[in-house]
This record gives sequence, C-alpha cells and structure tokens, in this order.
Amino acid sequence: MFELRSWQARLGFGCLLLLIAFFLFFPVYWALISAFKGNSELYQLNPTLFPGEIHFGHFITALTEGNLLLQLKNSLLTSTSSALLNAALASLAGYSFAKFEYPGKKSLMLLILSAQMFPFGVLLISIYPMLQTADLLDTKLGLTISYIVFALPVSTYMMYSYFKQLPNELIEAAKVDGASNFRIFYRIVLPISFPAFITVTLYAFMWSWNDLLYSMTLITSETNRTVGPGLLLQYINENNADWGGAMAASFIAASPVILVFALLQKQFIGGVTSGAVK
Amino acid sequence: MADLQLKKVFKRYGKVETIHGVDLDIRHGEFIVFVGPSGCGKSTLLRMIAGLEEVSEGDVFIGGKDVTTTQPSKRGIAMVFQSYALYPHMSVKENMSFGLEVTGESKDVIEERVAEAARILKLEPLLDRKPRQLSGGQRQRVAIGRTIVRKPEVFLFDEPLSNLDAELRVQMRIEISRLHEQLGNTMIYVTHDQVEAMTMADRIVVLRDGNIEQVGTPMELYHSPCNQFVAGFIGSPKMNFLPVSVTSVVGQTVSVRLPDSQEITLNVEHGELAVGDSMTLGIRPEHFLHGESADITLQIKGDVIERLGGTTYVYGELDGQTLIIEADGEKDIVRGELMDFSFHLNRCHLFDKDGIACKQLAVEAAAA
Repeated sequence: MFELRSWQARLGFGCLLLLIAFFLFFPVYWALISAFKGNSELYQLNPTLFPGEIHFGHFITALTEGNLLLQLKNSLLTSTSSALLNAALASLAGYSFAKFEYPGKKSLMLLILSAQMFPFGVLLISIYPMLQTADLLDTKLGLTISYIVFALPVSTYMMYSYFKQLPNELIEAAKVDGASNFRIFYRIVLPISFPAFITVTLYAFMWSWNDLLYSMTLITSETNRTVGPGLLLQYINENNADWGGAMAASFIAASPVILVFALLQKQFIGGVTSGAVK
Repeated sequence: MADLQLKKVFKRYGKVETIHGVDLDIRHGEFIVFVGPSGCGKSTLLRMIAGLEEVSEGDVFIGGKDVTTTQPSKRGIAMVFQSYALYPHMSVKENMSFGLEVTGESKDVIEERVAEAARILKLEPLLDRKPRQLSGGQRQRVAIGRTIVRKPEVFLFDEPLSNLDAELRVQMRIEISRLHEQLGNTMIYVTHDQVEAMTMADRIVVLRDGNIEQVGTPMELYHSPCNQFVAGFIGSPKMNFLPVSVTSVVGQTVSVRLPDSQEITLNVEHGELAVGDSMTLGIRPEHFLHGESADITLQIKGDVIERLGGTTYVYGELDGQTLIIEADGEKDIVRGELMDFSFHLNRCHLFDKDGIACKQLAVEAAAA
C-alpha cells in the first residue's frame, strides 16, 4: 500500500475520492429526488437539486396501478430459485474440480469456463430454441434455467477457488471418521465455505434481478413478466415516458437487492477477499 | 490384537517410485516412531497405513486382516494430523462426537465416550468452545480426543507437535507417552525430530529415500547404528565423522590413520578391506572427555563455544574436519585455545566406504 505523507497529497486524494463518489452516486440521487418530485417540478425547464415538495404520488401509483407487485413476485421467484440452484450446482462442481482427481478434469473445467467467453446475447440465441423445444418458453422455469446457464461458469470457478484453499487434511480427517463424500461435503465443507456460498448466491441473484435481455426475450406474457422488462414497458415506451413513475418503481424494485446485500455484505466481502491473504 | 504388518509395500506416482518395497512388523501395543529427513516417505507410509494413500503394490495387515484396499474408517485406525484438522465450525464436543455420529452410535454412547476422552485429556471445561477459541496445545488435545473416542486399534500421528512451540512440544510429548501407557494401543508416530523419536518410541524406524534403513529400540540405534546415515541421524548434536584410511588389515583387526596422523586399531566385523581404503570414523560429541584421560587424545582449537549452562558445545577443527564436542558446562573453555579432548576406542564407530557400519568386536590396541 502506498502512503500519503503530506497533507496536500491527502487533500488531493480526498478530492479524487469525492469526485468518484459524485459520479457514482449523483445518478442515484437524481433518480431518488425525481421519484419524490411532482410532475410539474420534474418537467420544469430549470431542474431543482432538492424537491420543492415531497411527493409520494409516484410511489402510490407504482404500487397500486400496473403489475409491479406481480412483476416483483416473479423476479423474486426466478432470481431466488436461480441463485440458490446455481450456488448448489456451482458448489458441487467446484468441490469436484478442487478436491477430486479424475480423467478429463481440466478439459471439463475449461469447457465450463469457456461458456463465459460468449456474450450473453449469443448464448440467448442458442438457449431460445432449446427452451422452445422443451416447451419452456414464457415460463418462469425456463427463465430460471437460462439464468443458471449464464451464472454457473463464474460461480463454479469462484467456488473452485475457495475449495482449493481448504486444507485437504480436514477432508481426510472426516474420511478417517467414516464420513461419505457427500456427508463430508454438506457437514464439513459447505458450512466452512458459507462466505463463498453467499457470494455466489448474491452474484447470481443480482445478475438475475437486474436482467433485461433474457426476460424480455424469453417471457412474453404479462403474468410471467419480471420487474426489469416490466418497468421498461410500463414507464418508458414510444407513447409515454413517465420518469417520476419509473424512478419510484425502480426504487421499489431495487430495494430487495439493497436489503439482501446490506444483510449479507459481511459474508460477501469475506467471500470475495478470502484467500487474498494468508 | 492390533499388530500391523507391511509386506513389500510400494508407492508409485506415475513413473516415480517413492516407497520401495517396505517390510515392517509392528507388535500390538508398541509405540513406533517413523523418523527421517523431509521427503524420506515417512508420512506417505503412514498415510498408506491409514488408507489415505493408495498402495501401489504390496499388502497392509492390521490385526491379521488384509486392509490394503479397505476404507480408512473401516481399518480400525484413527489419525492425528499435523494441522490438527479440527472442524472449525463445530465445538470441541461436536468435533469429538462427529466420528461416532457417522458410525451411528447412540447418543448415550457418544456422551459417555466424549466425557471419558475429555476427562483423560482434561478438556471438560472446553467442550463448548470452537477451535479458534483454543490455544495450540488445547487444539492438539482435542485432535487426540477425537481419535480416542473412536476406540481405534491403531493410533496414527502425523508430525502432531510440529506446530507447537518448544515448551509445549515437550509437554505434549509427555502427555502422548502417558496416553500410550494408559491406553496400551498400538501407536505409530511420524516425526523428523529425532529427540521426539528417542524419547517416545519403543522402537524407531529410520527411513531414507523410501527405504527403511534400520528398525530398533532407541538405544540400539544409538549404540549400534547399521550405517553412517542412521549414526548421523540419531543423536543430538549429530555424530562427528572423520575420514580415515586403512593402514593394515589382519583378520578382524583393522588399523586406520586419523586426519592428524594418529593410528588406531580396532577389532571389527568387516567385508572386503585393503590397505589404503577410505573409511569413516564416527565419534559422538558426548563421548569426548576433556583432557587426556581416554584412549585417544585429539588437540582441538575451539572456534565457537556454545554455553548452555549444564553443557558446553565446542566447535573445532581437526586438520580441516569440523568437530562438535560436548563438554561439561562447568569446565573453563576458552575460544581459540588449543585443548585436549580424548575418547575411548570402544565408543568409536567405523564405517566402510559405502557407509556400512563395521561392528566392533573388542578393542585390542590403543594409539600407536
């Protein structure tokens, strides 16, 4: 780590951090105040930095009109199930790659990782006909599977990296104790890999929750629509651009992710940084 | 009866052979120590006994049963690992009961065995703690406790004290010896520390490059090492080796010349020997006497003097050969001064050019 010895250097560094923070948070702040502004204030020629009057109308409209609650439910269902399934599969695959020896292990891992090399738009082109054949188009299950396809390679690698640094002696001790491979996995390995498991779950959850492209393409009915395309189609379309409503609905839509992240951030950071230092 | 036999055991990793056909017989209740330098195969051999490493060729018998391909848990063994390998998310009690839970023991049996092991190892106040809340010595005791509860026929220890500080190591060494006394089970202990080997073992197995060099009681190895490697490995500080050349061979009487041109004659069992052959004379540092009181006297100038209180180590040179001498701590030894140190011929070890020991029969003559 570098040291900032003089007060000028510290001041300069502080200003730089503030500038970065400004670029990061100003759009969020703008979205937030826009959600609380009335339409007249929102569309006036000289925008205001603080709402003249706090207005909850957009939030009430977002919650009572349209399908936001249904879309939130759909998003929660597909994101949670894909995140948990993805974490479970990634854990098993990562454990196998990290702690077992079998022919073709390296090639198989390379194959899984190579899926990540394709842009997800390209993957979508192949996923679409597969889901169509399986009669899973416009279903939450089909969307969940497609999310797993995208998140699994990175998640597997993350779990592999974590498991790789687990001492073999722990597993051997459990073997001598008489535990089967599966029991060793769920009684010993998984509990001590909780931070990595949470990290992978959050990663998949956030990716699914924020998805627009897959959901927009694979879901066509209003009843199965998730929150991303829901917001776009309802608030920003060719006939209409309800910015206040869009911002309020966006904040409602983002709150579960923020909440989950706030609750699990300790484990998330632990998982991301584990193994970085001895 | 948990005796243990290794019959022509080999270990190969692809084309590389690390254990070369080891034969070993361990009797029930023995405390056996595998000792040797890093990479000699002692841990591999232990892991093969445990079933954690596949046996490439040969057989392993425990209690008369061939367990070569048996699962570790079905071999009647329990193992203490170098890193303790405690399950970090479980309490001491859970760590100790895990193995019994797996084998489906009833709750009452688990409670009883954990309580008994905790009593033996004085772990009762720590049962609800997590491993991270324990000191190194306490963790080691939990690791041992985990093995005791399973009532194995054979205990295996893989360098269990190497992570502890010197003081704790001595303490744990005594505790493990006491435990062996108390339980009476067969124990196999791997270490690279020859002090641990000497102090704990009933018999020591000295390994080098995947072969057994010698098996014997600590004092057998100390007094009658079969070769120069064992002689150098057993004993601390290690044995001094002086190059000597044969000046005469008459039957079993061999005369050799020391680096300082003194000649000594020893009665030894030997193979083919001829005048002019190179041999090695071994003398342990503790077998030197200050002054000229013994058979052969060497004049040594002490370059480095290490005072440990009760003893003093003198590092000196004899015609280019470094020697370590253990002297009485009370003696007035001055660095750089030429001093007389002597030794008795019956304390010497003679090794042929291949390093094989020539066993002494009787001392016939003193210095020429």
